[in-house]
Amino acid sequence: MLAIFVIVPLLIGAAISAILKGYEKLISKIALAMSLVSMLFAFYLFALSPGNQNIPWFTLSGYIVHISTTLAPLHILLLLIVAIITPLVMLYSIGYMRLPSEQGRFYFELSIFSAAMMLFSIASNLITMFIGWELLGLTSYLLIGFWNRKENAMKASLKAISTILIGDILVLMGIVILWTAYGTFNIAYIAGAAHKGIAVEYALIFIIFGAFTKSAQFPFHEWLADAMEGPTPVSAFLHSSTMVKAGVFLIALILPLIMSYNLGYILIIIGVITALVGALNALSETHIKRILAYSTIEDMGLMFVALGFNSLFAAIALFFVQTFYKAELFMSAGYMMKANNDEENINSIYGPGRFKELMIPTIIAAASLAGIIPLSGFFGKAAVDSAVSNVYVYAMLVAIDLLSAAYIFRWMFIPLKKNGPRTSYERVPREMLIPIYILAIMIVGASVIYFMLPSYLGVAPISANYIHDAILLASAIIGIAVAYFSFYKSTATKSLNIIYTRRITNNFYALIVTLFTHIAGAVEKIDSALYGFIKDGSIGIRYIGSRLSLIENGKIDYYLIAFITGLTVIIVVFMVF
Amino acid sequence: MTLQLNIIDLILPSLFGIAILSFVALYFEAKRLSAIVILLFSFLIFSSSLYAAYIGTNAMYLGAIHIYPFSMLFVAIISIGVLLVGMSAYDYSKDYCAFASMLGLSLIAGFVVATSSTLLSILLGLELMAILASMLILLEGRHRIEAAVKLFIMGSLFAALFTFGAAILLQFNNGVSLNGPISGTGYAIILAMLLIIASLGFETAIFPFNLWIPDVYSGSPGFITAMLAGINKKVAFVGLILVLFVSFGAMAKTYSPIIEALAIFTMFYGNLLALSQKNVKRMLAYSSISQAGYILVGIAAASISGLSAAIFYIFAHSFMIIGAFIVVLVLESKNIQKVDEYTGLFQRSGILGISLSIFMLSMAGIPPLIGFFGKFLLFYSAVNSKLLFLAIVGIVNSFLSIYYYGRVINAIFTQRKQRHIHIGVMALIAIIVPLIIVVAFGLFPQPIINLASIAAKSII
Amino acid sequence: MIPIILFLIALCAILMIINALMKSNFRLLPAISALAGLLVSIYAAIVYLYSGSVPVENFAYIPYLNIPLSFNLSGISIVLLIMSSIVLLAASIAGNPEREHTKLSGTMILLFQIASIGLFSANNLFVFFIFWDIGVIAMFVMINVLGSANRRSASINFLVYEIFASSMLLLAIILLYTYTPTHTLQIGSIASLASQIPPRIQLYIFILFFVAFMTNILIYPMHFWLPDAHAEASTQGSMLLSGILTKFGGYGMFLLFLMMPIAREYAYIIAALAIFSSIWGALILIRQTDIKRIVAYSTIVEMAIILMAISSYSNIGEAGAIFGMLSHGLTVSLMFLTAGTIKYIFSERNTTRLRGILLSTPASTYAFIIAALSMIGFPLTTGFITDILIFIGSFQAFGLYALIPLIAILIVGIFMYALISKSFLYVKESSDAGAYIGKRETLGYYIIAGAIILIGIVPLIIINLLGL
Repeated sequence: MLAIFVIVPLLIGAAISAILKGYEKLISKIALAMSLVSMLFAFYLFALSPGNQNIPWFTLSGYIVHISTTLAPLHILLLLIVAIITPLVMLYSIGYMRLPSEQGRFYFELSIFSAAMMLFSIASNLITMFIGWELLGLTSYLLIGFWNRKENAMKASLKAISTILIGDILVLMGIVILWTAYGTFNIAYIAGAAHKGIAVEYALIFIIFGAFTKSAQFPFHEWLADAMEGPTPVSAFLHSSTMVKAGVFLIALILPLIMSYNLGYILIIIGVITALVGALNALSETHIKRILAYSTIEDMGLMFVALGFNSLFAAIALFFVQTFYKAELFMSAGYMMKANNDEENINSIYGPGRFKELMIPTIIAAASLAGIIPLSGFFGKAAVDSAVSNVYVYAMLVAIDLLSAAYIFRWMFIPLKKNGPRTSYERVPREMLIPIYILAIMIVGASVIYFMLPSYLGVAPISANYIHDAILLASAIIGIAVAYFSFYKSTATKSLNIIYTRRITNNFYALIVTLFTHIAGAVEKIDSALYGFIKDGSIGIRYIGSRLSLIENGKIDYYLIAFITGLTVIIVVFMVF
Repeated sequence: MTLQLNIIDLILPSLFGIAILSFVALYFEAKRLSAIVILLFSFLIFSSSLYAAYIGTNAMYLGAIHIYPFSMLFVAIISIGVLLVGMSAYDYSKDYCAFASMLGLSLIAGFVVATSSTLLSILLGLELMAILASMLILLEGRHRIEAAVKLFIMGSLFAALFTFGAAILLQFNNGVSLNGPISGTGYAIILAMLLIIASLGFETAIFPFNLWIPDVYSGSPGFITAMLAGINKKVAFVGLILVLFVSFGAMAKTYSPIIEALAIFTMFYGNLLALSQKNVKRMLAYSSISQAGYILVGIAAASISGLSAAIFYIFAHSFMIIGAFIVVLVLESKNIQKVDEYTGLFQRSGILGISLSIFMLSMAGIPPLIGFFGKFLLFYSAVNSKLLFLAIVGIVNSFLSIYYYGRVINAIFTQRKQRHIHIGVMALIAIIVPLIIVVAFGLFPQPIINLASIAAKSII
Repeated sequence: MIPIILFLIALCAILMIINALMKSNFRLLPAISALAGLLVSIYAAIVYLYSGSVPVENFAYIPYLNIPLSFNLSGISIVLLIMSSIVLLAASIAGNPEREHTKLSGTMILLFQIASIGLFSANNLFVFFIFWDIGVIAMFVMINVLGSANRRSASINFLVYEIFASSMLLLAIILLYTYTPTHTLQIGSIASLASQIPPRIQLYIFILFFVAFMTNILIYPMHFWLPDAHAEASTQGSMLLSGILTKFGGYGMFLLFLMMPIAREYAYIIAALAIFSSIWGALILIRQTDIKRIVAYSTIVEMAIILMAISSYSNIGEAGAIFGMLSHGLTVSLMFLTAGTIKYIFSERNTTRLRGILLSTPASTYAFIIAALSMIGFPLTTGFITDILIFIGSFQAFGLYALIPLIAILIVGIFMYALISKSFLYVKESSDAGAYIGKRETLGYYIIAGAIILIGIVPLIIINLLGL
């Protein structure tokens, strides 16, 4: 049984969605069913755990390039996460996406996206991984720009794909160099390989930055915030479980090689900056989904910090627990928006009367993010905190923990405070609530799994550092308190504008684009000048011709003179010299 | 031996037949008879002389007519040229009978030059041709007097210089007879050579002796232009080749640089001036000048391969230029002269558009047309004789030429709905025959290359 | 053993004459002959894969010069033949949405097909040259007859540049012929004899060949003719021009590096030129607003990258170059087909005014996206295999510099995505189509897009043909 077949049901679902027209209601059900089949298959694989499998694809000067899959613990962990989240998102979408005309396209893109992520997660060589990686980029582009009548959505999708494309090219560069250096695409082999010159170092830097673009790290982070223009299920999918984690996952796989080249500092520096930027922006943002997006950016930063300190376990722990609470939060956000006629500004969203059925799971998720103890989020953050061995970085992390507790409860309190009019209340479909509750249960359950992770992954667990844990808990409580007093109790401040970098970053991007446009303009000018020069040259030759034709004035005496002159000249030239 | 005599027996009566019967027809104003006479006899001459060239006959007849592959090949080229021109003029000439008789005499003159065994018969034949040409131009209209006079004056200059050169050579062994290389050295012989080259340069269109060409070519009706460019010029080349390769055969080192220099100037002159022409006929006139330059490349190579290349190209060019001028002639009669007026020609008449395009592409040296193989052989022989610079100039010129040919082809294929152009049957045949030759021998050039090399070997 | 190439050329020639002489125009003839070409090349591929070679076809042509009419199908030729047949098939089926001048364009397509078959399978430089010029002339007429407003000057430009190239080629061939000890132009034997030519002459020959092919494959500073030619050519013209004609130069360059050992000494300079050219082309591309010009400049970028791969002198790189020609031929012709159809529907080529193409013609949108993806090197398209092969091969030869063209790909890619976003996917108001595309155009999309994806997913056959 080939492990790669796990994506087949999803592909079938995608194909059906593309072909079936006129049965819109059916499409979503079929897609959901197919994703459930995939999930079951994933569990089956988990139980069976077949080893590496290679399908030959093409040859490279004797070396056979395979489509190869593995079910090593790390890979299957990601596979399971994706397999579980996919049906939940599909179910949620049944409620969320109600426009019948767009069902086919949506489920097609979503299924492919999910299949790509699964392929990515079980890939054991760089080529297979790159296929998944690129497909993710493309489908996320299509999904973010799903509302193709909204100009903002199109701009956001373009920004996303441009950033991601930079990463794709960088990763491709890395793959090319790594193959040349090691003669293989096998990730496990490369990860454990020895030093091989400066070129490999470049390759690793390329791949690290490629991963940064995918995982929305500073300075490539802004696309993720913009990506909120897409439908909410997409946001939940993109940001919770999948695409953005691809970068982290890739780096985690080749971490040993990066560490042997001592490149961890890049991960730490960028990770910390990103986490800080994300947390601060989340605190100032008012767009309900964008706050969560910045929060995701921050989480990814923390994962990279953990990786930078060579702590695979801490990174994977956060990687694992973050999935559930972030998915839940996004789904809640979508639910709130739906309940408020697609309002996106938290200051205009009214609760809790409109969505009191949402309160318990949302509070669980928010508390988990903030780091309240028995919830899984706490363990993830604690693991990262404990992995950090540098005191300055640790101080930063504590500050970030505090900020994140503050912004997530700000995100909750502001809508909660306003018990708005019950009129214009839109009934939210039941289908959207089921996955939210399932996820809330998972958030709690993940705490148990957290303790099983070390033995499963075969890595040493982080020894519990109670001081760190206490500091984390304290900062979470302080953060919640700050949020409570400034946003729930007080009426004055509605936002806490410490630093808001969104505009700066966008200006920075615009600057780069302008720069390129100007360079290109100059090049074009030079080019057309050169072309003009050549054209002038050809006109010049014709001009010579037209001047010469003045000799031909039709007078016979001139011709005779020319004849005699010519004769004289050749006589002189050839007889005298 | 009997066979050779048979061929001569066929050619000479045919020549007489043309001469006499065409005057009979002229007397009775019998247009059809003229046409039949000229076409029939020139075809007879063509086929028999081609056969003679092919089997490699070599004999002296009447002590003056030298029958050997070179001469026979050229007689064939001239006679088919006459055939085509004679056909094309049928519907367009004002006085066809007179034209046909003059044309017949031209054929005789060409025969005299090709088979000549002394310099004097070259002089005789060429001068006869020049005078006939000026008379023909005169015949076809009043306003062409100027062109005729120019041609006449230049022709007399040619005669004077050629005679002077021949007179100088008289003192040397083998002087004016074309029996073998002249034995002798010194300035006098070089002077004679230069004089003869210059005088022949008048008809072969070598710069700077060719300034009359555009005026006369564009001032004459198309069929006469076709005759001038396709027959007279080729005959003059026969003279040039005979003089250089036979009389001055031992002095290749001397004449090669002269011809090389003349070739370079001629090619550039023709092409540069053709670039700025708006009148297609005038443009073709200039282009035929530059084509003469290409032929000179082969002569400058002064080797068997060079000579056979030159012969091949003369063969090729006579068909291309005759075909092109006949197309021009047809269009001229509809008052279409400028490049812009050629717009939409393909839609107005597919055969005219396609054939003119193919003739021009062939002249530009685009494979697989006959002109390309000619150029390939020419430039190859130049490189082979260590004249790399000449070959480069030739290729540069061949590149320059594509611009003006391209402009015309461009116009031809541009769409513009206009009335269809009707073509006379005779003219149509006269266009299609060269077209077939240009394409067929472009695809399979080997027979012509064989003939050319047989001819070249027979002279050196 | 039937001489398949000669047979195929004869078939095309007969069909061409029939097409030209027939009064009513029977538009399927070019498609039939392209299909025949495809079948023959697939047959040749099977023969090649089973027996390791396809019999060489030799016919006496010009014994005087010791030049035979010689065809040899190497794996590379077969790959290029397959590519050109697919492009020709799609072009003749779908490339003329206006349905104008179908007879003349059909004739020219057939003529062009003769040229491409002969050129890619030529075993003799002289034969190569003949087919080269036939292709140029066919293309010249096509641009001239079926293009848009400024086609006259564009076609003259094209002709002048291409004849410049062919003049250089002619001179090089003459030099090669003269100075090769045995006076041969057989491609196979030149490789072993070239070292006996005086070094100076070798250098001349190399430069001449290089300039000729460079003009054809659009390396800076010889790239000027292409954008104009494309902007003005018809859809079919652009497809064949970019899809096949530029491959003439690419194939020639490949042969040049195969034949002339001296090329090795200049590989670095050539690669530098190619890298520069790719970046240059990409930068000019992002200033364009005409959809056909955009695609035209993308050709410059891609062909420059292919040149870099050719000059790498590594197995992988050279196989990548050929694969790249296959990929680029398909990709760019699909793009031009889309662009032409869009131009036909909207009567508009300016991308700043084209909006909501998705709504009017979804098929064109998807086709364009597939082509763009292949151009960027998206996995599961031919472009990906190309990129892997080319950049691994070039990296082995030139180190990190070989990765610079990826920046050009990045620039092109971002621009293409921007184009897709703004013009294709973004639906601002209900844009109504002036005309809708027929089944033939859609069939054309299926053919090329299918080939791109099929070969992208199953590249093994092509890779085996390339002997990698």
